[in-house]
Amino acid sequence: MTNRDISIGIGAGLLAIVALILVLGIETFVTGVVAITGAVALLGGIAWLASKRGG
Amino acid sequence: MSHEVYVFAGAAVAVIGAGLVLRGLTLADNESMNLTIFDCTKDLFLAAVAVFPTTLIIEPKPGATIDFHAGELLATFLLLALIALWAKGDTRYFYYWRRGEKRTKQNDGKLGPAATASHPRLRKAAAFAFGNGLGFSVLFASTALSHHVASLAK
Repeated sequence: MTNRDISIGIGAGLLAIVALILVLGIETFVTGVVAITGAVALLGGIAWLASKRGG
Repeated sequence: MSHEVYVFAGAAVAVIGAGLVLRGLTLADNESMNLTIFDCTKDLFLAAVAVFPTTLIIEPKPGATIDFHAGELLATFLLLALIALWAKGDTRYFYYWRRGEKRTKQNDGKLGPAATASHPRLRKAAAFAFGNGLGFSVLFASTALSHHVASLAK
């Protein structure tokens, strides 16, 4: 990855996080982080299990 | 659980379920289940875009006027920018990561041709986690933001 791409990605991500915290509040943001982490783990787990069974 | 989590979970389950059924039904004869079938990144982005106007239509009381303030507008455009950035990153990197390949920077600063990565399974897993993580993030943010805007309607 080029440094420019990494910088743009991190910069836009941080800006979005700050904007969402300011608009929605820290409580909703934390709820979101927990929900998103759970959703990714669940989908990843199902995909991993299905890949094992499917070969 | 808060309202946002219910809407987020409902939208995510519906779009992932529909996506998996469709991709499962359209598997090639000799194709087995693999990580690509479970990659719901694009489905989640589409759901995030669909949730926004739907919430704004359904949630406010009849006759209420919706006002977008500067903060909500900025956050909405940042979400759209994140989707656009992901699309750019997908063409430059994540498309290759999903195939266990990588592109390295050359001396002139440009990206070189795709080559097999040293840990292909790790690349595939990273592309899966990043894509779906960003998809879920944008869907939740869209859900919470549209609910917030709708609740401000007078």
